[in-house]
Amino acid sequence: MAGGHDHAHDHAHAHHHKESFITKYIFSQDHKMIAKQYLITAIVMGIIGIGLSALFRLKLGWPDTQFPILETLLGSDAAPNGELQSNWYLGLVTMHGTIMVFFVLTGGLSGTFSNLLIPLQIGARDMASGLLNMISYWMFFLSSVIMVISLFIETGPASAGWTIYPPLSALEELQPGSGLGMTLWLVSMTIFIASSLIGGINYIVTILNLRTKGMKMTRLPLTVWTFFVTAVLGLISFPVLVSAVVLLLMDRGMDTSFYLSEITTSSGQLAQTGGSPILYEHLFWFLGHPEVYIVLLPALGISSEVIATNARKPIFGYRAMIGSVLAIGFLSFIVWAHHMFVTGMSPFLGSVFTFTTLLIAIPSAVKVFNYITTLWRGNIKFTPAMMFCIGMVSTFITGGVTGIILADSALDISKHDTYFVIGHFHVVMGMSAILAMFAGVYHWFPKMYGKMMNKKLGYAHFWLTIISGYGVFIPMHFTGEGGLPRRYYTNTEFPMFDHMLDLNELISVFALIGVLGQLLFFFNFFYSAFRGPRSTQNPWKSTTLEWTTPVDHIHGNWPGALPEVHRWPYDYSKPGWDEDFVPQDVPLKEGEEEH
Amino acid sequence: MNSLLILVAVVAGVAAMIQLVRLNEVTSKVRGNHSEEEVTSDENNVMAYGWLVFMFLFFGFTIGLMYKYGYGGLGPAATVHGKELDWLLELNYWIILPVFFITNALLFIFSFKYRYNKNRKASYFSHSNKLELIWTVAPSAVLAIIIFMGLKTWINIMFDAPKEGDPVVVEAYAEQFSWTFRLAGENNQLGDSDYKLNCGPATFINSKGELTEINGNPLGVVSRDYVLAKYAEIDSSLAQLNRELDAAYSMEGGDYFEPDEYVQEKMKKIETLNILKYRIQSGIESKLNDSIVGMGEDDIYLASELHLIVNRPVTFKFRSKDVIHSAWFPHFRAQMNCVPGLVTTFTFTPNITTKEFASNPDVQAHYNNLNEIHNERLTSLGEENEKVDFNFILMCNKICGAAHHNMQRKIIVETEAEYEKWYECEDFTEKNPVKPRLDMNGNPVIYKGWRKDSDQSLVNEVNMAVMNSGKVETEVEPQVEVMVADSIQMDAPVMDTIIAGNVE
Repeated sequence: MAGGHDHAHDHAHAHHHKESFITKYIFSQDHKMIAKQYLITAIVMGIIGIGLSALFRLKLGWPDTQFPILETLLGSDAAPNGELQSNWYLGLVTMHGTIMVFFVLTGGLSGTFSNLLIPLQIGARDMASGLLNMISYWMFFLSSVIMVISLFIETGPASAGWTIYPPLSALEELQPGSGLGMTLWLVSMTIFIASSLIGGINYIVTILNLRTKGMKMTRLPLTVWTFFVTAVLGLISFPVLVSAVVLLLMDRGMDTSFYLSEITTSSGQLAQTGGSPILYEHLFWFLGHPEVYIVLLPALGISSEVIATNARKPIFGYRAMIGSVLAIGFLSFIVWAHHMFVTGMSPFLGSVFTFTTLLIAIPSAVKVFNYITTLWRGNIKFTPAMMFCIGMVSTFITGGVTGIILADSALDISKHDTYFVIGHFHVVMGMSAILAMFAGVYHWFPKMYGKMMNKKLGYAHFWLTIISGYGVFIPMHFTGEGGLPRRYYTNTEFPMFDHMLDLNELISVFALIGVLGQLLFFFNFFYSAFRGPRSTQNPWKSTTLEWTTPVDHIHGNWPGALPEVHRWPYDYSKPGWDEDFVPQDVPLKEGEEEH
Repeated sequence: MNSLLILVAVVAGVAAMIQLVRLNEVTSKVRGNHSEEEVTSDENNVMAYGWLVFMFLFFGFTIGLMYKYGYGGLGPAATVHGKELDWLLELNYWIILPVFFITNALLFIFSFKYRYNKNRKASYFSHSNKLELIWTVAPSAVLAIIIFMGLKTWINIMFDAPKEGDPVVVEAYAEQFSWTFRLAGENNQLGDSDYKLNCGPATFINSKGELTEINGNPLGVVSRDYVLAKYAEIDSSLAQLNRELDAAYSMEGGDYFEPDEYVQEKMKKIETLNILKYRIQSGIESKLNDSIVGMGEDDIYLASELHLIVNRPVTFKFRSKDVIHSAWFPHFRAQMNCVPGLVTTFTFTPNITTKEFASNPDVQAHYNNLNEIHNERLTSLGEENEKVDFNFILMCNKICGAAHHNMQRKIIVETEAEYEKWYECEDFTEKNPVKPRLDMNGNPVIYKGWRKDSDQSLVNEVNMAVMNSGKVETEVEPQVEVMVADSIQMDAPVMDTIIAGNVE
């Protein structure tokens, strides 16, 4: 080290003591380590979440077959002789939804990439508060553990659907899963939300205050913009879910009646009356809809970054992209009641929410067209990450157009809660967001581990994922068109649905292929983390600041002074430069215009 | 053994994969490139062509599904507003399907066409206000049409349709896991209902001073006698609970010898019953005038299929006993949630009879095919074959518990003449006890066999267990009937003080 005085000073806090195993790998306050912790937790939760879907798809695909493996895995209460019980079916569906939406796509996606990329891409040494960041992760971990534990209790996990509408979720005598399982669900979610809020505040403060010299808001990579808007959405909407959850806990345990009214159960009338289940729906969806964008915006950010890098071309319409992210973020708060068109809510409200919901299609369309124009006359390198991102754009289009039908209150009358809805939101959330998450992992794996993932396995994983994904969710639109309701343990009680038996079998076959396909990823991830070939500093020849840090992680990110930013993050193939990328910290040449 | 085999297979698979990956790494090292970082031009081309192939597979798959399952199985809408909805849906498909195919195709074709070529540099095309304006304005214009058409239909269905054409009123009452209908009878007005009056079988002294027995008031309809019946049920439950508590009390020890939980549960039940009784006394009794009670007299209860008259609007009033259900009539394109504590409504006009609908050639062809599949399945299960006829169906479409997947009723749409015939011939009292209070001669009706032939078989075994645990008190009740009848008179002042104490 030839470092002078300044250099040594910058190093001071990085090397002033040797970290123990515990402070380095477990209770770490370093954002890069926390990001990895989030990712690995999310992968484990993902294995559980997607595994549950495989189990209930067995029942839906082959309703008359017994699967001894179900008894092996779930126990003889849940699946005696391999015959899944209906309460457990609902429990699996509920846990699948909860785990995938909250623990994988919210905690996993935002938690991993916000933590990893915000400080690295804005040129900060770490998050504004490393301690809060650590607490945020450990609360996430704790809530994951509680949620998983609820799968192992005797009365089964929460089984009122991931939206846990009361009164079903409020009274144990209406459903066994509404006993201890639901209590654990509520406790876990409360902790999860606290974790999200702590994380979100940290992201916002970091982005606003710790940008390096020259990193104007209009020079931020789109990833950081989307993480910023996502954090704001979470900060505004998650507290509403906390209140909904707390009120539900009180209805369950303290004889209040916020949501309960005029209920007769097998043991007689409840004295609790005067509440409204519709109130719960409003509170839940006031979070629930922004939640969709909490999931989707980081996905859009990641794909903006990866597509620009691998098309070797600036992202088209940078300002329009920021504008549409802000517009989506704003609109996402005034569309929630489109989940409630047929709840008995005032039809006038239905008209208003149809209008606002369909407005969201405009910024979404702008994003799609901008992606496509970015590819136009590009010079595309199909890295595994790029493959996933193109897949992401395709699913965003597919899921977006079916959303137009569901946003229409009149059409929603005949589509509400059918498989059409399941198809639609799995294409956008289950595919778009997950594909982008995979893209993020493949793209930033060298940054996380200093190693490369295996490319060929990556390609195989991609094709298996997108083919099986579309194979599962496109047919669901057709079963939905046939009127098939969601959350049916079996469709065989209605002979009118028998013509869909083969279609449901097809869906299940694709689902199993898809689940098995993910094994390639798990293998590739863990193998490469330990045994992968070492990466170079900037393997994808990218412009953003994270690739100016050394391959081996150091506390504080940059060994010397923080880099200074001179240009926007998308100077790919800029005329006047020999290389096809110009990193952000390279000063403008004389007479060079920014963009 | 099975799990061992699975374990071995997994281990072998992982080991094989490790070897493959290592082999791949060794060969690329020999070739001497940064294999995982650089995409070779061969790989890049394979992936680019892959997108083209994928595009054809994807579009082919979608179009194939449209061809085979586009009919959906529901057939044309069977209501007036349903026809409008189907038309609107088709309009929407004509807009979104081209968008779906064209934008996806552009994405895949551009990916293919602009694949990497080291002799070329990408164009530095970072924005164009003109282009961006075009694709902000164009979707906005299309969406304006979609919004306008959608809201027009929505307003027709929700605001205009209910006001037209003298609709027949029907109540659909949802509970875990069955539907009960109440027809509004001659006056087309449903009698008032209150969940507090919902009761099981009871024996009581009616308002004329006669000893009466009813099989229950499952919809909580309001009448003087039902109030008395409910008092009887509450009092018998109270008596039972008190006896249980007494039995658990040891005079010598001066304390209960049952666990605290047991005692508290009983005490809480007693408190709840007292509150209910107080609320009935203060809330319902005072309102028991003839105009309210009279409306319900001619109501007809059906725990079986529902009959509707073709071309006659029908207004459904939905109530729920326990959790949120959703009344989903797929053939009528109608859906509304049933929310405890609320009365929700939906009005539609069926415009084709079940018979006419079933004779549609498309529907016939579909049902022939359906019957084949259905019986193939039954045969494979070793069950007797059966013929599935076309029927309009009502099903539950909001998760409601263990047997959510089997909560259905047939709906039969027929001409007015057929309906009249059914109405005349149907012996409501015998099959599904009807008249809530008194018959035409003013005699109390004994409600034998309420729902005898109906839904118990549908209730899932899992929930039966839960339900049975709660039913114990009501089943013991007939044994204490005389005492109960007395207790109404005698205990009333005592009861009032207890209640007052509880409430304040």
